[in-house]
Amino acid sequence: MSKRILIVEDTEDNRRILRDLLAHSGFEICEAHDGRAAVTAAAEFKPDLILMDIQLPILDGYEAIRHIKANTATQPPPIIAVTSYALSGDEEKAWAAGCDGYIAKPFSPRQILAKIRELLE
Amino acid sequence: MTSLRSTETRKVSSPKRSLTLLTLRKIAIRISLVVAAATIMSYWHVKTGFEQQATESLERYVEQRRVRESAIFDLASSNIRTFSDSYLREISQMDPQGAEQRFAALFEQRADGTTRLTENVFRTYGVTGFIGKHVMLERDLKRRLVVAFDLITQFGPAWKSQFANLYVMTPEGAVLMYWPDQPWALRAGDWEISGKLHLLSDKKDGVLVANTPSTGNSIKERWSELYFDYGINDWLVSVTRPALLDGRPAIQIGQDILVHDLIGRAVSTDLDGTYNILFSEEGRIIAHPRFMDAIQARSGSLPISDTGDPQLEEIHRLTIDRPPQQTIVRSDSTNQVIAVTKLSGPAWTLATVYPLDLAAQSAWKTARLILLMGALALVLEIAILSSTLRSQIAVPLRLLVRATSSVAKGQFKTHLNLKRDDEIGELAEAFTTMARQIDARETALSERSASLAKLNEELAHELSERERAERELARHRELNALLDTIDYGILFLSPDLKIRLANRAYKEMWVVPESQLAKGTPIRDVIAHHSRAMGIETEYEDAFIERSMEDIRHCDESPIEIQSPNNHVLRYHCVALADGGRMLTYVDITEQKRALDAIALAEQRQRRLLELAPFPLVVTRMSDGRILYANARTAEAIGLTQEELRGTAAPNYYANPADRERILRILSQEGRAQDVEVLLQRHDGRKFWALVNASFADYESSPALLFAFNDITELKQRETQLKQAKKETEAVLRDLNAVLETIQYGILFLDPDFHVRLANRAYREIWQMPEGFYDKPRSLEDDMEKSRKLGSYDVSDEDWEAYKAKRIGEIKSGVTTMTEMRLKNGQVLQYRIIALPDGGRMLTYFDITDLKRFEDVLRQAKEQAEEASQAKSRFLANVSHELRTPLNAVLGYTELLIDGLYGSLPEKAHGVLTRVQINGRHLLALINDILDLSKIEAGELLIAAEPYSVSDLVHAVVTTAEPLAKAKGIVLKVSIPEALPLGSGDERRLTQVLVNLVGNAIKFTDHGSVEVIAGVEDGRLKIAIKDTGIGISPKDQKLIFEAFQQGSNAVNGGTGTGLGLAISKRIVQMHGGTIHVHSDVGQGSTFTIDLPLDTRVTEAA
Repeated sequence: MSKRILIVEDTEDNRRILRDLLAHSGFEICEAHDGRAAVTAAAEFKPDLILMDIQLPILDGYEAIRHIKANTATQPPPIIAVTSYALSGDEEKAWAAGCDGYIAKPFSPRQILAKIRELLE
Repeated sequence: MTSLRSTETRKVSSPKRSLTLLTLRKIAIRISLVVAAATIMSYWHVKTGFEQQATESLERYVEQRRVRESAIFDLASSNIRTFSDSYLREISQMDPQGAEQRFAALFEQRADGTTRLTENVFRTYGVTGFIGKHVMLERDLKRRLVVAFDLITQFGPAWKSQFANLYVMTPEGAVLMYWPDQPWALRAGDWEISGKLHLLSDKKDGVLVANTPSTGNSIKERWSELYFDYGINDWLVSVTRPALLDGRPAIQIGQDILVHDLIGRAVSTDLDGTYNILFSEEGRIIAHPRFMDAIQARSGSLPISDTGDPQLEEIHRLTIDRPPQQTIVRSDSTNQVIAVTKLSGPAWTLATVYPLDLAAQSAWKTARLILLMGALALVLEIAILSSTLRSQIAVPLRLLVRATSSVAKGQFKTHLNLKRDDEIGELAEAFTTMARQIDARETALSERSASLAKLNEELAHELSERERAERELARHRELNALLDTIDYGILFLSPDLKIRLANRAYKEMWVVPESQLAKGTPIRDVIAHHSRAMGIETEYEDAFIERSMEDIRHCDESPIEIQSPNNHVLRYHCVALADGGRMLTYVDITEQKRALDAIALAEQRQRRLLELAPFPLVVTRMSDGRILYANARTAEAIGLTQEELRGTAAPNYYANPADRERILRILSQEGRAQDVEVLLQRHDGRKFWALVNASFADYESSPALLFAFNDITELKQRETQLKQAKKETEAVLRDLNAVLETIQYGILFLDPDFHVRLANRAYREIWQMPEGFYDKPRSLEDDMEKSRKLGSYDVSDEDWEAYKAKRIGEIKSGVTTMTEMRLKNGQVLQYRIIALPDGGRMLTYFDITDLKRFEDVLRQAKEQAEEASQAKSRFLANVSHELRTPLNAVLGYTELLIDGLYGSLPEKAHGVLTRVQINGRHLLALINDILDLSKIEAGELLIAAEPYSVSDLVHAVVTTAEPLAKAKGIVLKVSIPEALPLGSGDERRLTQVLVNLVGNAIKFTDHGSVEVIAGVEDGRLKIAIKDTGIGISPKDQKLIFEAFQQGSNAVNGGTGTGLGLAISKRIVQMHGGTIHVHSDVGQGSTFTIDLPLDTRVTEAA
């Protein structure tokens, strides 16, 4: 049974890259365009891993992570924060929000795939 | 006799109030009242009559007016009705063919598109006609117009005398107008015609609107508003009536009525003092004597409410509210009667206003006449009455009065003959009889009086004798009483030496029973008693008595002292009296004796005190200044014995004899001299300073002066020294004061009891204390209250007491903290309390307002800078995000393509995509570097100051660079001593620097090696990166640390951003370090960085 991954990303191109990459790699994909949709999708789709962009409309990534961590009755899935805020402190913020991985944009698809595989093992 | 005299003084005078006058006044008042009542009643009667009359005539008048003014409107109504009836009759008989021909003959088409009656028709019939250019000339219209034309030419001239015109309109907008004086529709424009039509139209029932069937069968005539036609310069009212054919209006018949005369009549009046108002049902004034201009100005449409005349509004209201049949309305508020009637036709209301004041005026005229007549009658009546009263009553009464007064004077032989037989005559006769009887009685009375007077005289003499005897007796008693009150014991003896009198004091002194002192007792018996009382022994008693008797007989003059019973001392004196008698007096002098003894004792004590005084004391005689007494101390001070001093002259001991005079002067002026400094001189001539006190004294019962003095020579010396010291201190103080006055610190010195000791200039200026405020002693509280009055404190009234108590408490506690204080005027003071060693306080105030302001400016600037920095930071974050997002897509797709995710690619495409990837990554590096640089420039880059291991850092960098070096076939070496101290700084950033430097070295070295050397020199960490590369020219060495500069040897299209060294230099500088390059072209380069060490621990290898 293939693993399910929730992609939270507001830019279509970046979403497509992840979709193409992950679909090609045999993952089942669900996508969310904003933070609120991400929270809903996390509850309904029950992904095995979440790729979470931080700069999102409506609810930002950190908020969404907080909601997901709070709402899920069962063990929350691993979350990888994908941020284009490469300023100092972003990574710390991501860890503080309870992320399991951190990838700065622009990311290398290979690198992201490696990270996902590492976390899903 | 007496009674008669007093009557005489009353005199006969005219009475104060004349009977005649009184009577006349009463009558006058009564008549006046009657006249006044008659006046009021007639006024009321006449006024009511007039009002009623006026109301009746008004009613008649208004009815006449109604009939008269309605006539013209009724006529107009009847005219157009007749016209209408005739029209309906005629039109049914009209031959349509004939109508067509007639129409063609009468009308002509004009160039402007309208159709009008020809000019010839106007000249012949006085009729003009107009059909608008948009009207369809249908057969039916022509027929209606021809019939109307015929009827207008028929009726028009007949009605011309009373009405301006006659016209017919059709719903389509055709008009025929009979108006011989006005070629109205001949030349008039479209708009003039439609203006008239519009004026006559009624929007409400739409009479003139074609194709609108009239509702029901009520054919109503319609009256226009009043309007002023400027064409004919007259007021007009129009009446129109439709003629219905088959239930639809075929034509509208109209007539204009000139109402100029009607309005003229309405405004002028036939009744005096009244005026008329004409107004419409809608409340518009049509005619009013005062508002005609206003009405014309408003085109005949002036609402009553617009006049602003409350009286008019009241009248309007009353006429509306009245019952329909009532013609007379009374307005109480304006005191008017208003007659109202409604005209037929346009249904105008005619109101005639009659002010009730008119009736009142007429009534008042009548009443005034009655009042005048009444007054005249009153005057006449009073004149007649006055003369009658005088002759008939006043004259005889005055005669009677005169007779009475002569009787009062004692002339009883009065005869009063008035020769009248009325009441006054009878009174006169009775009076004469009475006078005669009084005369007889008076004579008898005077005889009896004479005998009584004689008897009286004898009685008086006897009385005076008795009074004299009584006075004597009283005087005797008084003497006795007097004798009893004095404290002298007195014994009066008769010439034969027997007791005459003994007073109370004597009896008490000698305790003699009353019985032995009876008048006439021989003195010998009394003396025997004295002898026993004095306790004289029996055997000497006789001798004592004999000697005493002898004394009394000879009456020795000088008093002697004797011992009385109870150990009292009496002074006894015998005085011979003129009649040969004796007076023996005894005075008790026991107390006197005792007092004298006491004085002697006191003087003795005084002397002993003088002797014991611990300072020199001298008593001198006032008269000659000789020394009466000098105590032992004096003797010591002068250098003589007490005995030697006594009797010498006091002035001898003054170094300056004038000083003694001075003391005496002070004494005489002030009663005593106190602490007078005097230079005295000893017996041996040595001088010394003394402080002298002197006062008057009695010494052994003679006036004397008492001097006390102190040797103060030593004191004087000390004083001189003190004066010198004081002078010096003052000089210092003066300097200090000058300093205090010039310095900018406000200083307030307080005494230990918290009174102001000194307030310097700066203090006074800061607190704006008025000149001379500190001339008086001021407490701390005074000072604070004054400042508060001057409005210096920024403290509200409620808080003041608490604030003051707190301040004073602080000052008293002397806590020396420095605080800031803001005054009301915005000044900021640095305030400090300093406790002084003497318990006083020094308060200092330093004006730091400017400093504070500067501080504020600085703080603001800082806040602004921080804000700007934050904004910059936000901007950087956004830029970062915005740039990376698209780059992410570029790099992501590229990688997926290269990885064959979208199918296999031709080789060529693969190569190109690799270039895309390389360029994309270069772009990313560029963005990262620019952001880093921007962060540094914005001060956004924070450098941690953490200890780090230099060795770890270098090895980590070398490990990453290793593959690159290997690829180029270069040797990468590390040279680090074993025990190196920890560095202090931001490990991540320093790694960035080393990566850059090592990367550069490898990049620009094709052969040989790159070596990283670390070490400590002069307490600083040195890291050198040495290569054997191409080297950098001296010119380039200056440029390479600038942003976007690369050495001229830099590889084209290479991977350098040109920012690496600029960023490295900044990072090193931010660590407080430096970076240098040493290079020879072709020989290689060495970059050396110098960084601080961590001072805390040393790395344990």
